[in-house]
Amino acid sequence: MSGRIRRERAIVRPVMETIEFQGGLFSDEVQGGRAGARIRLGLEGLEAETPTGERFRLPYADCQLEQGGASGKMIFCHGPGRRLTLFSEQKGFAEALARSGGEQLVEQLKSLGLTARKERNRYQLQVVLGLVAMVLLSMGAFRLLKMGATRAVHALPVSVDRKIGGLAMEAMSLDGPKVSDPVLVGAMEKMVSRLEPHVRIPGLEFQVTVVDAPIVNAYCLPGGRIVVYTGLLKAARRPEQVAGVLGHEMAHATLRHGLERIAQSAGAVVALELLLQDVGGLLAMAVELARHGVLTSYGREQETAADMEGAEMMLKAGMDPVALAEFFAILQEQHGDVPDSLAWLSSHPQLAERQTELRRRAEQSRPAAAEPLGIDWDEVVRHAKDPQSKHSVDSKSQVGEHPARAE
Amino acid sequence: MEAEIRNKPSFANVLVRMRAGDGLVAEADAMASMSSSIEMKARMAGGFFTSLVRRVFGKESFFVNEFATQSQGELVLTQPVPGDITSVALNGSTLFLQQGAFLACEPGVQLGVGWAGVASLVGGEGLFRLKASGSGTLWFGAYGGIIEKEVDGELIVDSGHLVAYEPTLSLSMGLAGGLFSSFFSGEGLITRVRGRGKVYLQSRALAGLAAWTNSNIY
Repeated sequence: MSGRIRRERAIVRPVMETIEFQGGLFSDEVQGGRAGARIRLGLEGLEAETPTGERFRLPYADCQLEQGGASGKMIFCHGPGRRLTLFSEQKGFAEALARSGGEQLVEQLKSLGLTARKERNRYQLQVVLGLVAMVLLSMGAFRLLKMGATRAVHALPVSVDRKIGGLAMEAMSLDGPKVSDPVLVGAMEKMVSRLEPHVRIPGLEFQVTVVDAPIVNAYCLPGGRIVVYTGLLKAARRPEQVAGVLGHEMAHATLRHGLERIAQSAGAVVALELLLQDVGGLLAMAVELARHGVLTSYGREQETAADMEGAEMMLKAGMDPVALAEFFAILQEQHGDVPDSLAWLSSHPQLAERQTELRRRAEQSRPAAAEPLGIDWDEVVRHAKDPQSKHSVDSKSQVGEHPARAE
Repeated sequence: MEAEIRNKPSFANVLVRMRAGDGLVAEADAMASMSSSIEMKARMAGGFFTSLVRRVFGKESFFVNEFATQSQGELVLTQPVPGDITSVALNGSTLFLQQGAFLACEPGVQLGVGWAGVASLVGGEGLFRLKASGSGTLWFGAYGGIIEKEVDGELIVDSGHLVAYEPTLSLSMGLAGGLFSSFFSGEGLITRVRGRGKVYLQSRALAGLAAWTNSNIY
């Protein structure tokens, strides 16, 4: 029994507990089929009154309860044939219905509670699983994209390496003045000239820049731009040791580790561009990475690969790769090794480990008679301590840079 | 107060003829023109926090404009996107509006912000939704035409097409089909609307236009 109660015929009942809730109703008897309503829980049923004064009554015995709505907490009380539906999501509505509606509504509310809990649990599980799946898929897709981009750099023409090397050289701080001392530059050119015919890819243009700074370091940018610090020359005891370092650094360029480094640091957009062989983003990233000194810091695998490639180049050039192992021993003496416990965290393999690998490789195919480089090393070290012809770091002139390739 | 929605459906705007004592609340920047006899006053809609949430999560303005007149005058309201505008007479009832849909309401309508849920965010419909309740006329707009639909059961709506819905309806996000179909059919995520109540859909989705424009710029 449900229906509209005309105001004049409204039944006045003795109500033991009248509680009022804000809600609404669906009925064809109101304009538009729905209205907001104040819902009272009377002795025998629900009574609703719209803002325009229309009243409706729904006996508890006729109520079919349902839970839902946008919040998931709205309780719907459907009358027979759903001709009248009263609803509210105000706090306490379900409890009040249970108190006023008798045994039948209590059972329905219990059942709704169980269903709602199950629904909620199922929904939460779906959301969690969905989010986990999305995160895993995104991570997997991004990883695949990066792998693809890292491989794609090897398909780029070598002119891209040269372009990146040039831009990076302009962006990087050299930490000291460039040196055009013919003794130092001549010695470096001689070493590079011996190694260059044995590089694995053509088209690289090796140019050496000597920088006067007490830094035991050297690096080679993509395309072949090599920087050697006088600190490294002073630390070496014979020219083949420096040739070993140069071979290692040149190997980074020939193995295109710089481009791989950029691809690994790239975001999804640049990685996608690389897959499509668009190098615009790559060039911009190279400048940024060079500016922050990240372009020439390689991973463990890349360092090991460069050691082996450098050793190959030395062997082919008639030099003993043990010279590089000797230089590592000097570094170990002077600076110690990365503690064993932190070896995993180090981007470079342990120096001791690298020496062993290089000596093992040299044992396999040591040249019958090593051809000396013919460089007076004492003179080089003397000049490294006090180089002639220094040039300001800010100078944009090309003095101090020397193409190792004989044109 | 009389209101007329003109130039439907593509470039709809609302012409409001106000009489002495009438008031109207409208979204900031919705006014296209007004008589000099109408006064405009900016205020926060529902307090600082509600206004802040409206602005940050609802993509609505921090302030709303209140229009009033001591004599009479005309006011024209419009929305930033091309499309239809419709009005709903709230009768103590509530309507949820998606981000950016609200245009104007009579002073008897209270504006608030309701939690829409994480699923709504994932579906691109935002974390909060605008809640309009009370008594009075509410105007809202859409990009494209507005489709009014009575739901009794379940309706599947593509994400970005839902403009407004009654609180008696529950919304859940889902995939349009299987994993493959969902990603390669172009439909992606959809909204499942369940229960009984009214929904208002827009015939175009702004995200679709943005994607189309982007693909033709480069």
